[in-house]
Amino acid sequence: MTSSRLNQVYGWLLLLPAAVLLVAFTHYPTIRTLVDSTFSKSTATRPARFVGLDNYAMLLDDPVFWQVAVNNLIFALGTIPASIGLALVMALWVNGKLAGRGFLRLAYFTPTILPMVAVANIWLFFYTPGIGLIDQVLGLFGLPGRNWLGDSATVLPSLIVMTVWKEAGFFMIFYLAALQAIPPELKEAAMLEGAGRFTYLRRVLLPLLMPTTLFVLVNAVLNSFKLVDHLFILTKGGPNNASSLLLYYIYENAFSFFDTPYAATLTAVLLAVLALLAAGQFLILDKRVHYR
Amino acid sequence: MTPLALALRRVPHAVILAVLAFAILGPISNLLLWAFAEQWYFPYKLPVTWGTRYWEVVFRPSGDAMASLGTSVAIACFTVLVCLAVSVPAGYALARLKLPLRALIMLAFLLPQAFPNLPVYINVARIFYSFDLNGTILGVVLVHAVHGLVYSVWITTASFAAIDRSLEEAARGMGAGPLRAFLTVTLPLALPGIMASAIFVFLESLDEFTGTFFVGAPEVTTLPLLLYTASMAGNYQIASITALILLVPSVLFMLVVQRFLRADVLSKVGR
Repeated sequence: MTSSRLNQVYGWLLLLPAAVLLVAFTHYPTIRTLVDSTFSKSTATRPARFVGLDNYAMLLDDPVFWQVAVNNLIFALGTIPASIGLALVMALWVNGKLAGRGFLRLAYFTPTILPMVAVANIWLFFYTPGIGLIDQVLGLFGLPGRNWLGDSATVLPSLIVMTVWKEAGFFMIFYLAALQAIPPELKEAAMLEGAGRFTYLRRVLLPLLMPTTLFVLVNAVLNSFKLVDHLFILTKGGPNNASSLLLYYIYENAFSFFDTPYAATLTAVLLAVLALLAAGQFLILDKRVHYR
Repeated sequence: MTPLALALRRVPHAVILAVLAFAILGPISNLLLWAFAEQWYFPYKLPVTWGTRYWEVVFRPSGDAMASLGTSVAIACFTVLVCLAVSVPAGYALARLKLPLRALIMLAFLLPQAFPNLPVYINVARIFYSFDLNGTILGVVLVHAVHGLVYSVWITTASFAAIDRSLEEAARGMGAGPLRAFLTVTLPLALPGIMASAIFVFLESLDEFTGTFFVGAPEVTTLPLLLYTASMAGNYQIASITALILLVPSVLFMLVVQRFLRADVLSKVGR
């Protein structure tokens, strides 16, 4: 055997343990899910049998699925632009020279490093009817408090605010890093040419930040479909499914209704949506991202 | 402009920053209130009685919290060991040896990061059921290790790739075998990156909720699970104190990372 062939054999052997773990506990379960989605639910008297796309037809007729899908869309539209915009604004502010900048950066970053369960718990106190901070502040102005998480009109916006609070700091870190890599000469040159601060921001800074924005956007989109821990603590999808998201509905089907094939079908749909979104972002946006 | 006028110009800027800082820290201060409230009910704006009674409950040596802190730390340590044991060889192979389809393999390791974890955990729980791994520490460690693998493989690959190849070749030239060259030259040089990935995996494991919930509960109770059960049972004080305990390692990590958070490294992300 030549030495480069031998090298390859070593390479595969070194890679093997990690690959086995990954395939056994991530890729295999995922493929199994896709297969499960084409079988019927097995019962004590009837084993599961192949049903083709029947489960998918059932999904189209399921009003709860549509409600949950719309919820997820609202959640995505509410969190993505707000958290990215806020992250950019915070980064632009914190990037300037200001006393106490280190402390501020730390403050903005804090929500990000908290586990989602802890974040949910913090906001549970915030939204508590009567003694929660929000109701107390409203009380100062003589406004009545309300049950933020128990009312189907306010529950989803409440979750959106909490998620923006958690995510903006994380995205800010990336903007901050990108801002620090931009040479100060650019600003001087723009000012010499007579550009105001706003023009400099719009024509120079924002285009230079586009690659970072794409990275942050992909993450934000994925997260709006991946976050679920907070629902376990805050609302359990309620009231009346008003705050249920796709992942939580999958969980309910698998563990509360014990309908594995239907949970698998929902998973397949979610994966397809994520794949489409990711492909779309890269194909469409990647061409327009780089500053030339 | 006089120095005073200059300082005044900064005032609105500082006020906005302070408001933002309050919006971020306000919810956390609410958590602190609950941690020291012995009794708090409507219509009182602040806790009715203050005290550290619940801290004593949490830190009682025989209490649930201490037990689950122990479980959490043990699981996190085992997870780090498993992750490093498989990702150091894998990272070396991916960085150093010319493998065909390298880009595809890297993608296969990155892809789980884009998947939602929950459906995967549901299926893993079913697979574990047939191996009697549900409700065992080993099962939870495996789930956490697979989650951490994404980070540890990528970070170790990057840190091996950053080492100058000629150093290794010099050691080989002086007569060191491949293993010896790796252990005495390459591994020590890659150690900072490997340590970084170990810390990252440790924290991810400490904070992990969903996987533990599906695979470990109710037998294995980690801190996030204790927080969940306390919160569900309405023990808000216990839940807040647990959340504060969980905050400590993350804040420490952040203070360390702040010093290493170099713009030139981070700005490469996404390019």
